[in-house]
Amino acid sequence: MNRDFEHLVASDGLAPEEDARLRRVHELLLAAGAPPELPATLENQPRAPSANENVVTLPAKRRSPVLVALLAATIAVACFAGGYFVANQSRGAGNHDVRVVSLQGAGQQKSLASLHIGPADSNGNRPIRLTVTGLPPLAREYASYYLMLWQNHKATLLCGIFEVGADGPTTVSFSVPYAITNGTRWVVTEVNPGVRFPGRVVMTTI
Amino acid sequence: MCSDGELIERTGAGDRSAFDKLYRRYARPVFGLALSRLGDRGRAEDAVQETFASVWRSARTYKAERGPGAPWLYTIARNAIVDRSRARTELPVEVPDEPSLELGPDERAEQAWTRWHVHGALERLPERERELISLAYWSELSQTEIAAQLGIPLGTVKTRTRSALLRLADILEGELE
Repeated sequence: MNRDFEHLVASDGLAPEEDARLRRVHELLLAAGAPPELPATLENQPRAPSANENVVTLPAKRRSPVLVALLAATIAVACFAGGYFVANQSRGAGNHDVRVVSLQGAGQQKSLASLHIGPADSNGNRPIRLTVTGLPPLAREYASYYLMLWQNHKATLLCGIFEVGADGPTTVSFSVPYAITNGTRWVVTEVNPGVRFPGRVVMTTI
Repeated sequence: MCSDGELIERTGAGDRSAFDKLYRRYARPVFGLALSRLGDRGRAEDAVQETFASVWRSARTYKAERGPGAPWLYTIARNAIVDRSRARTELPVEVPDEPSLELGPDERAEQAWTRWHVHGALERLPERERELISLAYWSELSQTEIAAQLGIPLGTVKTRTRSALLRLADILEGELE
């Protein structure tokens, strides 16, 4: 990919000092590299305790079951007494996306998609919004595209069913109750009547 | 948009929404810094939690007149990460025969600060601009493919990238004031 400043940025008509400012930011972005994805355990911000309370560290998911149980009990008592940090508490985070994933067409398919994943609510349901372009409309009756989780080299769990129009990108919203980690991947499959579920994979996670 | 310093001061006064905003803004930079220093995701997660616990405890000690908020947060994060790295059991290593091509301590520190600074500023961009920057700089997509994905003309991709860079420049320069 070409990452030259002139290739990425419309710099026509910029004053020299403005041009220099943008080039500096451009260089900083290249030097910094991509920010890491937040792990699922850190997606939701901790609840701040009141000013007079002490703070305890959240238990990490990799600890032993016994330790986790002890820490969970400790936290439960602490919360009852006045509130400490609570791990993975769902907060009203509005529409703040916690992860954005890109998908592209499989094989010769030229489609592209972005998947915006929101924070889980208190019941573990997550909003996801798919924007896709370049997929051909399906002509056959009852034919649809399926957004599915990709695990162990196969499409496993259904996230939602959608169709696309002939013009422009299509945006659809779903809700899923699945635990989503940094390693979670999705595919889009094309399912036609008479074809065995989950059909043919037409898009994969980049 | 509130500055980091304002959010820290409000956190020090017990404002939970300010603390939440700080978390949203700096969780990823802290995690990135911790991951690069510790090389272990679990320890990095612990360091993030300890960092924000310290932020909550210490926010009232922050004095805006001594400097902007980002370096203050960076110091807290670095201390939490150092504490984590001390707890790590170091394995004996063999002394190499040839000089290492890896960055020295000064270069690593500068690189870490750059990442911190830039990633923190990115979190303050509107979602639309943040996504565009991510696609333009760190995805494998061409400009034409990005335009197709976002459903906008190629020229608009470039002008929006310019707008996003201008906003980033304002944020980055503002923090240095």
